[in-house]
Amino acid sequence: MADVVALLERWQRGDKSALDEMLPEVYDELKRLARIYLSRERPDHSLQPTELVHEAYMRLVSQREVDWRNRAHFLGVAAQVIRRVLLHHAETRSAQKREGYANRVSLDAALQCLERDATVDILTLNGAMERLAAIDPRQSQIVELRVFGGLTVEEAAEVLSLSATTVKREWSVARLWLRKELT
Amino acid sequence: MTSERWTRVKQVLADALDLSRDQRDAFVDQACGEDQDLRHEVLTLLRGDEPDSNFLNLDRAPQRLGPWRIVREIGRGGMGAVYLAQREDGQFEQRAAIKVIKRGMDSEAVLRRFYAERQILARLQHPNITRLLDGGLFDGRPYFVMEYVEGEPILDYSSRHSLTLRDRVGLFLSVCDAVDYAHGNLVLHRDLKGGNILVDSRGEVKLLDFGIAKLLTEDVAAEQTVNAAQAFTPQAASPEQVKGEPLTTASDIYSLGLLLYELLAEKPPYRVQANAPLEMVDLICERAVPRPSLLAGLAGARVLRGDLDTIVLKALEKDSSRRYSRASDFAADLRRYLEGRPIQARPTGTAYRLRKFLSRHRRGVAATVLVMLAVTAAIADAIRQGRRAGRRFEELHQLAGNFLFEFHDAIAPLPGAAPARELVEKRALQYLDILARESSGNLDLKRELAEGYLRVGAAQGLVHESNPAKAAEARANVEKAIALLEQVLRAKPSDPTATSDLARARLTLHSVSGSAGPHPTLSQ
Repeated sequence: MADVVALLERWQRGDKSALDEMLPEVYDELKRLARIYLSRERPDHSLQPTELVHEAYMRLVSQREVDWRNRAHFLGVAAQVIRRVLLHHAETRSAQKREGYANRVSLDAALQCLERDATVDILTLNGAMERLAAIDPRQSQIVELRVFGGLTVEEAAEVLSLSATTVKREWSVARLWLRKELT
Repeated sequence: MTSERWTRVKQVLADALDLSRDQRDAFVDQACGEDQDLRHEVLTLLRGDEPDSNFLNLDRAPQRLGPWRIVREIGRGGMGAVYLAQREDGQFEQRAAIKVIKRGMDSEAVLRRFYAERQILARLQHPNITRLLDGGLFDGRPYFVMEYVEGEPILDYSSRHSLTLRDRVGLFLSVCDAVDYAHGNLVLHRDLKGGNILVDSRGEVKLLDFGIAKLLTEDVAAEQTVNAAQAFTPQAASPEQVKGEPLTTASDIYSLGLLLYELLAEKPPYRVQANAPLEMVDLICERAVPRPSLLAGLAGARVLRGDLDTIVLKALEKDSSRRYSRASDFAADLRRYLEGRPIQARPTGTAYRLRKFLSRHRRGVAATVLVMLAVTAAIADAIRQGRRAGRRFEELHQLAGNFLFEFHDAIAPLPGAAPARELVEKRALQYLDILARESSGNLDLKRELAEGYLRVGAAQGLVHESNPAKAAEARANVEKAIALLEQVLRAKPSDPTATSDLARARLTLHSVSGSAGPHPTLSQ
C-alpha cells in the first residue's frame, strides 16, 4: 500500500501526480468498506459516503499521524473520488450486470443516502455543478467538498486555503444559485 | 450569466444574506441602485433562502470534531445537542461529552467569549467539577468539549438510593465546596440545577457546565434589554436572573438553595411555567417561598422544621444581600446543624413581614404596567384615527403624554422597576415619534414633544450612565428635543418657554454626553 501521508504531503506541496497515485488506493478502500458495512447489515447504520471516507482515511493513514489538516486534505481528495464513482454508477445504473452484486448494492445504497441528504438527484446536481464551475470554479469546488466529501466549512477552508468566513459565504450563495438552477 | 456578472450578483446576495430577513429587500434596493436586472436577479435567488428547506442542507449531526469521534447523542436541550465522543488517535482511552450549540445563538459572540474565558475555565481543577477540555467551530456552530461523566442526576440518585437526610446534606456539602472553589476563581456557574449535578458510581458529585452559561449570554451590564438572550433554566433561576440584572455569587447561592430545598423536601418550592413570563417573574421575585417542612411528607416535616427550614430560606431570600454571602458560609451552617451546634442563620421576623408588604406592592406595579400598555396603545390608535377625522387631537395627546410621564416618575423609586420603566420609555418614544410626524406647523405641539424627548433622554442618561449604547440613545433623544426647539425658535424667535427649554436641553446634552457635571433632575 502506498504511503498515503507522504502522498498527501506531496500533493499539498503542489505535486499533482500525487493525486493520481492516491485515487486508486482511496477508491479500492471505499469499495471494500462499503461491502463490509453491507455484510454487517447493521440496521442503525446509514451508508453515508462521508462515513465511508472517514473510515477509509483512518485505515489508510497510520494512527500516529492523524492530524486534522491532513484529514481535511484527504477528504478533499476523497470528495473528488466519490463524486466520480457515484456519478459513474448513476450514469450506468442499467449496465451494471458486470459488477458484482455486493458492489452494485453498496454503491446504490451510498448513492441513495447522498441523494436523500441533499434532496436532489445526483445527475441533475452534477449538471448544475458543471454550469456553476463555468462561472465560478471555486464555488463549484466548495460544493464538491461539502456535498461529496462531507467536509465542514472549516475543513473546506483548510483544503482551499481560504478563511472559514469566505467559504461559508460562498457556500450559502452557491446553494441558492443551485437551488434556482434546479427548480 | 458571465462570471463578471455573477461576481457582482453574489456580492450583493452574500451581503443581503448576512442581514435579518426583514432588512434584506431594502438593502438590495439600495445596493442595486438603477440596475433593475441585478435587483431582480438577486431577489429571485434570495427567495430560495427558506429556513426549513432541506435542499443541500448539510446541518446534520457531526461525525467528527477535531480529534474526537462522535459515538452517539446523549442529550438535547435548549442550547443544542450533547454527544458522547471518543478520542480518535486511540493513544489512550479518553471519552468526552461534546456540546454543539444550535444554530441561531450568535455563534461568533459565543466563540469570542469562549476564547476570552477558556483560560479561566481551564484553570478550574477540582475533583467535583468536570473540566472543559476544548472548543471550536463546527459548520459555524461553536462546540465545547467537556470531561465525560457517567452518573445520575443528584435528585434521582438520592431518591433511588433512598438516601437519609444526613447523606443528602453530605452530597450537597460537596456541591457547595465545588461552587465555593469556582467562586474563589471568579467563575459563576449561572445555571446550577439538579440536571447539571451528577453522582457517579463511586458516589462522587460532579458539577457540569461550569461557566458555560456565561459564554451563551450577553453581558447583562452592557445589554440592558429585557429580552436579552437568556441561557438559564427558569426553574433554577434567581430573582436577579429573571429580572435581567447583573449576577453575582449570590445568584448561584440562590440556585443552591433551590437544590437543597428539593433534596430535602423532595419537591421544588414552586413550579415555573417558562411560557408565562409575567407569572414567572411574580413567582420567583415576589411570592414568599413556603418553608420546606410544609411541603415535605409527614416524616420529613418534623426533621426539617426549625434549623433546616431557616437555612434553606436564608439561601432563598429575594434580596441577594440577605442570603449567605459565600457557598462556604452556607456549608458551614449545614455542618453546624449536622454537629448539633447552633446555626448562624436567623428566621426572619419583622423584616419578613415588611418584605411581604413590598412584594405585594411590586406585584401591583406589574399589573399596572400591563393596563398602562393597553391604554396607551388604545390612545395612540385613537390619536391617529382622531387626527384623520379631525377630532380632539390636542386633548388626546395630552392625556397620553401625561399618563406616561407621571407613571414613569411614580415607579422610578421602586425596587425592581427597571424593566417596567424601560417599557414605559419605549412606549413614550413610540408615541412621541408618531406625534412628531404629525407636528408640522404646530408650534405648541413641537414644544411639548421637545419636552417629552428631553425627559426620556434625561431619564435614560441617568439610569444608564455606564452603558455606552444607552447613553448614545439618550443623546439622540435630547438632540431631537433640541432640533424641535430650534424649529420653534426659528418661527417665534422670542418664545420664552422655548428659549429656557433649549438652555435646559443643552445642559442635559452636556451631562448625558459623559461629562462630570451635575445631572439635571427629571422634574425640573
